[in-house]
Amino acid sequence: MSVLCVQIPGFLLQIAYRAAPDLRDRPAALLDAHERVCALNAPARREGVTLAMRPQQALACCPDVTLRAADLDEALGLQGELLAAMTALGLPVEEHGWGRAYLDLHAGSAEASPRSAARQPDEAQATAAALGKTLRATLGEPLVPALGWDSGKFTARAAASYTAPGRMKLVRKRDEPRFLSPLPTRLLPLARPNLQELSWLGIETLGQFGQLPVQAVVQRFGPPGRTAHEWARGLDRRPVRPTAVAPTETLACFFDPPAATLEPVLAALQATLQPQLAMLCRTLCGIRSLHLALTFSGQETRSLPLIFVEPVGEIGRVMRHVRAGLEALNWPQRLERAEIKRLESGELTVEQGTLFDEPAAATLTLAELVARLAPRYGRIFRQGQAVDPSHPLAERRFVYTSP
Amino acid sequence: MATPKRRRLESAIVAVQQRYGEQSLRRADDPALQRIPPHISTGFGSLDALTGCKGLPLNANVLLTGRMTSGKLTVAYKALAAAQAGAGRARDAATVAILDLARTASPDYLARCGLDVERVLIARPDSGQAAVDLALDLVRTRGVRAVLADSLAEIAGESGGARYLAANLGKLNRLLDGSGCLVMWIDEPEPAWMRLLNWDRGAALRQYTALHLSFQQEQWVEQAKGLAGYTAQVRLVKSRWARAGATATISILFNGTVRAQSTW
Amino acid sequence: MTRLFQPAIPIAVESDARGRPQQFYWQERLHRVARIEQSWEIDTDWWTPAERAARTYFAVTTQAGLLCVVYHDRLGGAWYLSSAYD
Repeated sequence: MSVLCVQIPGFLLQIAYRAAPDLRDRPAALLDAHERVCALNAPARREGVTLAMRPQQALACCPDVTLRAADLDEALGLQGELLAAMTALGLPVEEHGWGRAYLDLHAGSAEASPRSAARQPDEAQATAAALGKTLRATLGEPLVPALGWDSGKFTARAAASYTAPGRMKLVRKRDEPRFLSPLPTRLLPLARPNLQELSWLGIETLGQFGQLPVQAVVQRFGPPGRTAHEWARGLDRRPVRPTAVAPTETLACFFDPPAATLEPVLAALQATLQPQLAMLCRTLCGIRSLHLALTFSGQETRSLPLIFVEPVGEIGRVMRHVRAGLEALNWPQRLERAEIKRLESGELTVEQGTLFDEPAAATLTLAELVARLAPRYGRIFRQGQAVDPSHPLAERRFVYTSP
Repeated sequence: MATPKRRRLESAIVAVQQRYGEQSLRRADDPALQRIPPHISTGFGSLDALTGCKGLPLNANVLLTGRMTSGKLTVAYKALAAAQAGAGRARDAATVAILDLARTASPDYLARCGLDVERVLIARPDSGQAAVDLALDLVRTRGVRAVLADSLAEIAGESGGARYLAANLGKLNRLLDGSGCLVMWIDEPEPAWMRLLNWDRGAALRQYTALHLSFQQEQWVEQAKGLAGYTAQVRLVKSRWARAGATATISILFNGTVRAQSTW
Repeated sequence: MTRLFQPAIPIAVESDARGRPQQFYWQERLHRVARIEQSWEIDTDWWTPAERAARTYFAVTTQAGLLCVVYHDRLGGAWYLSSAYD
């Protein structure tokens, strides 16, 4: 396989910065349609704001944070342009999240011979350079992507994550263990409690995680752990899948008597979706989009498409979207049947915030800290400076200065 | 348990371990299985072992109580020095902060405890309420690794200070969660009858701390040249990771724990 | 010393005939000196009258287990608590 990962870092934020450049330098967070934080910049993250927070929670953490609604229409438009530019190459494209997609450079080729496998990196570089120029011209300067290439999707994504925008990182097979080994475990889309457990066990890197016995990992984390263990060792054979997957079995809920309220419908849909989601989570995937077909009394039908863009692995988040969609829909009659016609899955994305109780490196200098706090507290801050460490009077060995 | 049952259990354990490895099956009380939270060392091995978390836990409030010359503040300073040095991941020394309400912090002594005074922020808030707000803001910035509030007596000393602190401890705990920061509180114990009735100033803080250590000076350490230090007994009053009641003895040596000086 | 009192705290000290402290009052308590660990005299910065310090220091341990430094200001005649170990 030959996989190119195209990733535009901070996609939603870059779109917001185009409209308001001053947001760059102060704590800022974007809210999605459900009034939850869906993107935040580094100053906001440093103040303790995290993804999925409500506005009140974000303000409690950081009273100075600027909250804006994410311009999802603009984002969807630009996402479409990104995918169109990639699809124009005539190769399979798999959308993974905001500003991120995979491209299968080897699709349609004959089975790779050692000679063709050896040429893959050079061919990838040529294709990537051309694609990069196209995307730069199409999307504009702030939305320049970072590119990562490898024979597997996970390593390609890791390579793109650790490359600056406008550059490409190519990971050859022989270099894969050395490249992956020092990378943090938070690149794995494991559930937050699992990542916390790894941290408490002192396992911080993919190399350390890959060295664990696989039976122990499965015992502790279940089938998702096995998948993550393989990815950490560079074993990712997942194909690049561009098309949506129709459910292999009929997933429908019948309501007898027909339902007039939301609660029984939501309960039934949750019971239907939960096993599907559990199955997807075994391979670290989630639901990217759902298409519900609703049949009301009197044979009236409605369809409800729900698109997440970034695959969702938690049933709570999925049901929040389902509830919002059903509430917004006009019910002509009581609901008799709800069927899941289309279910698109995709690899779970990694949270961009702090994923676990990792002691955050104190990155602020004294001057930066005082600059942030002085407006509120005034001149109460001091820094000790030695002037004469051997002075006989203890109080004259140092002076206090303003930092 | 009856002997044949136990024998069957043990042979089953051996069979599982032979097939899946020794680490596939462990006893629940195996110390290696206990989750140690992110922490910083106090610099005293016996004290680190006492707390159950190999030192003082990050993302938590810690209360250190004891009379003057009990060693509590020296231990706090050594913990600040360890917090500055970091866990080996940060290239640069981390910033720590001291809320010096008592107005007694000495940069000379801080340096002799191993702190880089250029990365120690000493704040002297005007009131207990300002001190509480500042503690919240320091944790919120996620720019400091440890905060030392010296002391609770000054915060509670003014009218409404203790109440304001009690009202904000829940928020402080929520901010600490995942922050990578440690907040240490220093206090001198009030009469036992007040503590029994939870009327003392530390009553609310005791509920919200993850770790409470009580210090008591034991005896002086004498050497040929005279007084060389003292030993202190530390009692574990409360810990999320170990059973309360255990004690440890630490030695604070004037030329060892703290760098020597020619005179006091 | 862990705690450095700035400014130094004026205290009432009872001293013996040789001027060595025997007990002192601080924080509304009487502290009896158990032993004088070290004493030294300082006369410094005399070239700047405003900053001149002529003091006799005593590092003492008390019966209650306190280790502190008190000094007698030879210029003003008062006693002060300079610092304490904590």
